[in-house]
Amino acid sequence: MKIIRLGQGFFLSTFREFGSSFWILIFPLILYMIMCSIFGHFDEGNMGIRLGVVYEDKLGGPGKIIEMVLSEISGKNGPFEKTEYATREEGLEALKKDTIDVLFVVPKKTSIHMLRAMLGGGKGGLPPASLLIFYVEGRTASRIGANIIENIMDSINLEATRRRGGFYRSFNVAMEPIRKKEAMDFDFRYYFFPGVMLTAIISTSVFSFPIGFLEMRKNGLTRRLLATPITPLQFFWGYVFGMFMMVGLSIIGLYALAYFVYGVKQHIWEFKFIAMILYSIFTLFSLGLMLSAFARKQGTTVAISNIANYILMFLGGLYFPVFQVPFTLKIIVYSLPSTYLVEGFRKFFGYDIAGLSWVSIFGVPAIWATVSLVIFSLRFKKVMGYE
Amino acid sequence: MEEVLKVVGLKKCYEEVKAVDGISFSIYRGEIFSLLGPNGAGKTTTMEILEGLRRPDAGEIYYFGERVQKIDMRIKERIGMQLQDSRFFDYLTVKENLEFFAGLYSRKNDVTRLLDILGLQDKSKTLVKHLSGGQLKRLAIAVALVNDPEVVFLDEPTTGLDPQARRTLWNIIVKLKEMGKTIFLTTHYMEEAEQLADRVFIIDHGRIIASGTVNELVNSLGMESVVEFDLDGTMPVEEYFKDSRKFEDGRYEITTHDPEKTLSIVYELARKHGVKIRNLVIRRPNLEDVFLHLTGRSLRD
Repeated sequence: MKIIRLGQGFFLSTFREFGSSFWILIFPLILYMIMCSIFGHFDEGNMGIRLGVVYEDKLGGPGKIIEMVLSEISGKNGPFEKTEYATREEGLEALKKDTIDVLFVVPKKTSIHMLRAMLGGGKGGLPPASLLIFYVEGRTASRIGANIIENIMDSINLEATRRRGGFYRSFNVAMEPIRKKEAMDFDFRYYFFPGVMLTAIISTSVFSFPIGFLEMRKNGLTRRLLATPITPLQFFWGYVFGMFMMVGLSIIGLYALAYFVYGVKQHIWEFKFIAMILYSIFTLFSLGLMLSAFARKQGTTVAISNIANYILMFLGGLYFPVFQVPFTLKIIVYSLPSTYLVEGFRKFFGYDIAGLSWVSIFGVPAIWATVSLVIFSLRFKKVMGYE
Repeated sequence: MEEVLKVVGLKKCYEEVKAVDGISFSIYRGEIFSLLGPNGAGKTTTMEILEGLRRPDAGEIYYFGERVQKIDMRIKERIGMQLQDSRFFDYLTVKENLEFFAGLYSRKNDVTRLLDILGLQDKSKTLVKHLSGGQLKRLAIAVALVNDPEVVFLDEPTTGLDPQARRTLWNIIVKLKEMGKTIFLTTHYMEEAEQLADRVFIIDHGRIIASGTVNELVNSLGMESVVEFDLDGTMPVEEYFKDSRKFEDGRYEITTHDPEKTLSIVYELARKHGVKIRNLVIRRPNLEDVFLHLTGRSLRD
């Protein structure tokens, strides 16, 4: 009960202080809006849809029409960037790996079917040619690409029917969705969401813990609280609880903005996503506690907190990919917990930029948390005590 | 009288400095006990040890008749503390702060009643950061009372306040005594100790150098009067009076059994040296004189 009471006090006091509230609650929202405004429309000019094509049949005769049309709509002439694959399996693999957005398969005997369709008319004989379009369910670019191809193929059918005066048997176009749950279009609203959320957690952690504890020790609040019947451990948990409420409120605000204003709706309600948020809070709070173990002077502490904040944010890749930096910086990038946490979140959205394994995504922050908590525990009396 | 707190041979050192050097005293239920001494004498350290904020190097502490090794939660539930320069939650209101601290105790006082007693009712919804120095001191005392304590520690409660605010606080402290509280008061204002304390222990360099009621302490000097005056020139006052002292502002002070004889000698000296006596005062000795007599220094030094 005392921990809850302490937590409420710390939360309310921090919440009402404009400086703290701004950085923890308001700044992440502004940052997210700015990021989405700047980068949210970057892909509008780039209409390139990556088209994979598999010719299982060597096209000839009327079948050549398909090949010619595909060439026309690819490259400089159209919205597609065409890549040919030798087999259907290769093409499907590329689709699953997001190397292409849509896969168009020309099955065996397509040429002969089309020739018959031209010559034999609309009735009897061989069944009509059947072309296949594979796309990824849930991915807008893939769906759009598939629809465009389907429309183009329909246009060929219509044109052929018109030219043949109805004496033509249309080929079929089958749309085949494949499921790749994690896959999503690259979308800055999603890309920035975990980055900004981690910014809020980092701000709370690297500033509120070291500076907060130091200030309370210097201004006498620690002494005043320890004069009441509470233990230093209750005081500690009370403060952590208060800051947890603060960061929780910040995340709720960010969720509301992202969900209602920017339409970020997929994956963010999944249990594993929310568990990842809690894991991030645990890891980054531990880091903040470690910093507080070394906090002695106000000026130095503020400087260290700022440096830690910027390193964790920018070299952790919260806003921009950082895996192409020079080797020396890469060492820092790969040793920061924020790098792994943000990649973990983005993996849920299907953005596997660095190809980090789940073991490293959880392992590296866990090492940081363990080391931080050990250091903090050793210095607990100095941080939380009065004498 | 019931002994609520007893201290025997309490010691505390900070590296080479003996902040508290083997002090002993007892405090009885319902009294105002004052520890009087100059800054750095060891008052706050003594109080912080008794509040459980510091650990003594040696000595025994008895609370409510029981020896305690550590000031634990059980004791903290029964005592209240107004700490020197203590801070509260700046962004909570006065009432919210009181409710917050009350929530940390199992014994509780009525917060509204406390606001009334401390004269903070009209400030109950004001954020603490907007309070004046005097109001903050009153809040500190209110917080010390949230658990309806048996013993209240007041550490220099009026330091830094203007005379009017100081007098308001004195009235509050008297009110607390009337409510039956035992009060441990540290101060470096002799007027405060004289006005409020039932018993005064004078502390200097970590040691108790005198103790008793104000009358007992003053009478222990064996002097009836103090003669104070200014001179517009110089004359060898110290040569004629052993119990004399010259202050930095040039004022002289002579403690004496026989003020009439002292005055006649002072006038004779002045005439002989051609200087004029100004602002002559004859008064009863006070705790300042006791401290001066014992240490050769002023409480304000």
